[in-house]
Amino acid sequence: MAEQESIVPVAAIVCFLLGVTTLILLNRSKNRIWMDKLAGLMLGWCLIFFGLRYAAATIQETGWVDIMYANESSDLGVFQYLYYSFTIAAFAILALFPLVYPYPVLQKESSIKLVGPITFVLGLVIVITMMLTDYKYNTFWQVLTIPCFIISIPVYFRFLSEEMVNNDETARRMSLAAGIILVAFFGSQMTWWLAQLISINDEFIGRFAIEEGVKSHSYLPNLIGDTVVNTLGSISILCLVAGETWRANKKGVSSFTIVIFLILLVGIISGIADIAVLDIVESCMVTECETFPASYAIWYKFTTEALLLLFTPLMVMYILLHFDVIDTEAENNQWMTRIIVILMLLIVSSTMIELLQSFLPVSQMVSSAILAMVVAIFIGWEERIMSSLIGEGESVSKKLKSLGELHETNISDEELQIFSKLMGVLTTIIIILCWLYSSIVR
Amino acid sequence: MSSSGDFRDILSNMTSSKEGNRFTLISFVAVIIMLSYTGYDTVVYRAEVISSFAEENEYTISFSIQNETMQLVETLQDDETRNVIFELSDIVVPEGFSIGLIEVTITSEEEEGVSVQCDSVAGDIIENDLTAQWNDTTNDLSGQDSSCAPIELNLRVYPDFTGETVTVSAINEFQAVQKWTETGWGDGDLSIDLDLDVNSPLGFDPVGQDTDEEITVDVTVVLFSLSIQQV
Repeated sequence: MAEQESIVPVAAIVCFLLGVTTLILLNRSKNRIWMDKLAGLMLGWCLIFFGLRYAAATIQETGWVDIMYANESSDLGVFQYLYYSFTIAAFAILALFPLVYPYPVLQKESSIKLVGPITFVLGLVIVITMMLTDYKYNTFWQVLTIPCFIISIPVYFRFLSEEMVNNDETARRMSLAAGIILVAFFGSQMTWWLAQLISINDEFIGRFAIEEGVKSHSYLPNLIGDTVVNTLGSISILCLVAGETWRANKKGVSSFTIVIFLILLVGIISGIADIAVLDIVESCMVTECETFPASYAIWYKFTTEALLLLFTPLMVMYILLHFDVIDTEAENNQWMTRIIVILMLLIVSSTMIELLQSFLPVSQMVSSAILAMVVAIFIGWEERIMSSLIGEGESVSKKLKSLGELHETNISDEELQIFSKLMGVLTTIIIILCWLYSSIVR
Repeated sequence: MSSSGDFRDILSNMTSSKEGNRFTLISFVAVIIMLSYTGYDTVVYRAEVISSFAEENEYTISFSIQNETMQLVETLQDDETRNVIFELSDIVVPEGFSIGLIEVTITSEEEEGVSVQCDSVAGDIIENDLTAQWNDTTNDLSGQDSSCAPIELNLRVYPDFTGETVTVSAINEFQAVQKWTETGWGDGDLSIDLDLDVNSPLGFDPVGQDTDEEITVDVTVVLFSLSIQQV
């Protein structure tokens, strides 16, 4: 069996590329409703921050940091600081995103203008606080995902009910958008839903804490963060399963229904696998930490890790294109949209093939042939893929407008672009702070 | 028609579906129920478990010693070097015990010759396949004497074993004793070279009786078992 390669570098490329393209396409999209424009900006910058986060992790993994800073006494190098800081910046955006999309809770002009500054201040305050506390509470800020659950669940059920009870076909786009956002936010936690339901995730949290050396960690806030996000993820998938089952009974099975049931199945298998390895998990406390079996690691790489690192950016791309957040009809946007869609799909497919090759005895010749087949399928079905992504695209904002539930503001593009400017400043501050602080505490 | 953008209107719009609200309410109640029991498991119970590992615990490890002895008596001729072998597999090591040290005492008693002058006796523990700490600085692998005093040699078999109580820091009892539960030490045979050089007064033995020497080799194998106590 070949050595398992990390998919973090691929995630870095996918996220950064998609983020930059989103901002370019958004800049070219004229006459967008403020909600779409702001949501696009937030998603674009969130992807860029995630891309930078994974890039920092990739540089850490290569090991040349140790060569560069051989005499460093601190465990936290500049790239470790950057990794944490860009993650926090991304989560600051994610905390406010549900207030804007798919159902904007903030609709007054004054509050919309505050989204950028609040994200900036929130991100900066958490980055500095975490830096000064040596990232002891580095999983606590997962509680920033709470607004997503509180807003997206009512939106999902409201519009699903309207589709089912009132037979309003256009309501589906709202429940679908809310559902995809829930999967994008809590995807990895959803794959542990059974383990969380029977409350064995705490055993894993305990193991990882002991493995990483609990001495310098302050646990309680981190444990609260872990518990909250795992619970919200578990309940989210169960809600989506209930909702999609109801819908499938009346309207038939959709692609999203299949995705939800796949995640449910992954959660069941993962839960059983987790029970099977409990002795290994507890070994850290009773004897010494035993390593997990290779098959267990492979399973998590193909499910939780792949969902988080590879499929979440694809889900974001789906939201951007399918719900018309960016203007895909504009002539100067079409070619770029096509390129980025095919590129994203190819990168993810080829990574999955490479991952398969790392543990299946498949020769390089066969994997190359499979990759060629995938390329041929994507080229051949390019029209079909694009039309399924864009052709059926219906704007969430238009639906809300038709319901009279979206406030029309006079907010200009320039005023919305302040968000981009602030995020650019935040990026610069983060890089300078991380470089400066890491060199001081070295 | 456009929304006023008022927060109350937005909330009432969001919750305008009765069926949707029912599902939402069930979801929120489910979150509270799950948060309460997983929160107890993680934040209360598991936090306690983890915090018990936050600082390493101190343990004292004391050793119970049991000695096993073997003896060999050899008569060596003048200028003779003879190799003697002690098979350690002949020793019955009780359950829970390990071999810690090997102590060798070589004695010779001068009873012959005119002057009863002590002969020169040398003993060397020969490095071989016996699994032991051959490079330990506390070992005495060679000795020589010509005053009829016993020659004391020793070889440390188990790493760092001195027989004295030690204090260790570890996160649990298993890891504290882990260093002292290794197996495989003391497997093989103990090989000792004996060397005799008969001494006569001024190099003269008129009767010619002092041509050999009876040498006794006592081997003491120090076995240990351990008991652990948290400080």
